[in-house]
Amino acid sequence: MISALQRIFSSPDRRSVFSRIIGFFSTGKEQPITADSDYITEQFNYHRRNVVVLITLCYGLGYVCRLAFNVVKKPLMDAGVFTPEEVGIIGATLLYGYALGKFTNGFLADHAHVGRFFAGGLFLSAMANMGMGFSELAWVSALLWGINGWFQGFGAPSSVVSLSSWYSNSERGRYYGIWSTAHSIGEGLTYLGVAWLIAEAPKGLGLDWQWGFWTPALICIFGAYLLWRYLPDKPRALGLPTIADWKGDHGKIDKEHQDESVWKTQLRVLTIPSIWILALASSSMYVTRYAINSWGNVYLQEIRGFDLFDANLFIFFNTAAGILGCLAFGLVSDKFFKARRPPANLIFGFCEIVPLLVIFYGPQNNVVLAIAMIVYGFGLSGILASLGGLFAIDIAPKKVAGAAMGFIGIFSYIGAGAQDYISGKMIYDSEIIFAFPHGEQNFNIFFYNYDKPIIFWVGASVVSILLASSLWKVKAAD
Amino acid sequence: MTVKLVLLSVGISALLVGCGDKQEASFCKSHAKEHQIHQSDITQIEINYSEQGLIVAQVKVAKENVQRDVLSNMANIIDVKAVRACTNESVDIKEAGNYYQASYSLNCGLDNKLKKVSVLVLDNLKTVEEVEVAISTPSSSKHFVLNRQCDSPIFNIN
Repeated sequence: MISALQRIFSSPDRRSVFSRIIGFFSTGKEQPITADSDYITEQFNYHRRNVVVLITLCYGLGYVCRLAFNVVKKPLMDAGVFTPEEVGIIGATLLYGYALGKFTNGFLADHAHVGRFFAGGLFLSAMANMGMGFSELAWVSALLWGINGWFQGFGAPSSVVSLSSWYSNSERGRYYGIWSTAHSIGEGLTYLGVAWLIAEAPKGLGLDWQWGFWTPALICIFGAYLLWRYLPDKPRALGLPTIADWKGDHGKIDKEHQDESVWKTQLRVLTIPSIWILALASSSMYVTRYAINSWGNVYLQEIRGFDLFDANLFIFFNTAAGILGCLAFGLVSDKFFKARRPPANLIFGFCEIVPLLVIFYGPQNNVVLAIAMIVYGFGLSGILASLGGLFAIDIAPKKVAGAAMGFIGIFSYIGAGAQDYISGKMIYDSEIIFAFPHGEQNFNIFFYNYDKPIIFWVGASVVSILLASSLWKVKAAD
Repeated sequence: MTVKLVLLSVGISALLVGCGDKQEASFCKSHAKEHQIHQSDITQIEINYSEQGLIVAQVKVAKENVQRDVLSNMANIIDVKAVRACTNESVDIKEAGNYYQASYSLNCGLDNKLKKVSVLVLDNLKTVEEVEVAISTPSSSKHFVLNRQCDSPIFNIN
């Protein structure tokens, strides 16, 4: 990595350093396709195997740098470092940064060497996490976490561009499902791993909250190294045919726009009404997703009385089940509904809403809570795999998959970011402080009421499923 | 390369373990498990805030730590700040062997918003080293111990 940077800065090339950096991160020029079909097959087999493993593993590792703050929220609130409102604002800045990142980087990823692009984002995200461990000022943390959000936005578009470059229409559901397990792998690593670092002994190591940021940073640096070394550019830049040509798997061909430039096609994505509806549906579902991810463990500690480790363990159940949900969604929609996503959306939507009602309004029993978390995670991950990308890639022209994903992403994370602030505000407004002064010092015990936020979180899921169901007849494009 | 990675991992692990525990906090970290040994002897506070807006606080404290007059004045024990002022309903002091059992009742009304409830036992009863507190509100309950030696409340007591 260092030698690559040295090449950029010490090259005799007369272009500016900025141009050389842009050139370094750009996708290679399309090469003439080699005539050796055995070589092509060998190359495709090799890269296709690498791509799915790398993007799944590294996107999962990247999650640890995105979610660490959620685990340390309660310790930060209890220690009086930040109020729930400040915590909500800091959490929201990441999601707004991420929304912006997903959008801008979605457009950029279509033009990038995704291995270098993804690695750069992950490395810079690690640096932001390092900084968070040193900050106790709300505005500094908000700024760092917002920047981290933008760096985190390098991962998903890069992964989606890799998926659409190396896997064809009829198999993309399955591979997308595998990649989507990265959400759960990363969330699981965070909610168990980071919680284990911070939780009091004997359940955890009882480290200070700062380690909840520094350890993820080290993990992300490792992920960035793997991507830098092993994630390939697009097939055409390597002298290989497109995946659709190699697999003979073409979708509906839009002859009118076939020769259109990538930039023009990207803009045309914004004129497709179903993409807008999908963006709103995804946005609503992201409200629930990030509500549970951001505030779920705080709710379980505050209202249900669990300790930090157990609360995060319940959140982990939902993320672990999410791995199955992602895989099942790809399989179910590809195999049982001929790659149609709406029927599967509806099924997985019900699997998400019913357990959500049980979690908040059902019996106060640990086994029931664990089962509800598992089913919720299964349903949520399935429908998110669709609304957050797979369905959008189906609808949009394939050469601008990154832009379509970016467009959905910006809506999704604006919803998630607004949720974090609104939830934090509602929780803070309900605050009652029980203070126990003794001399100069004060023991403060905080009580919060979650009735209003819960209605907000569940309602968002209902709206999402209604919107997604309105796209019942929409079909895939090439 | 492999050797460097192994050394780095060992270094980071050592750092994590080394930075994990602070000697001065050992009493506070272990007290949750040991608290039950002296649980019946220490000052106990139970506060119940109901959906109807009633606050009932009960304090059990050894006679050696407090004079009856101090307990009789509600302002010495509990102070409530809310959007609308709460009314002091009653103070009741009983004796049970070596202990006083004091009960305080306030009415804050149905749609009032509590901001801060200050419990002044540690501030006004200087010889009380530790209190066990149970608080119940319409949304949740908490049970913990406060000790003057510790910086933060001790939860998960047995």
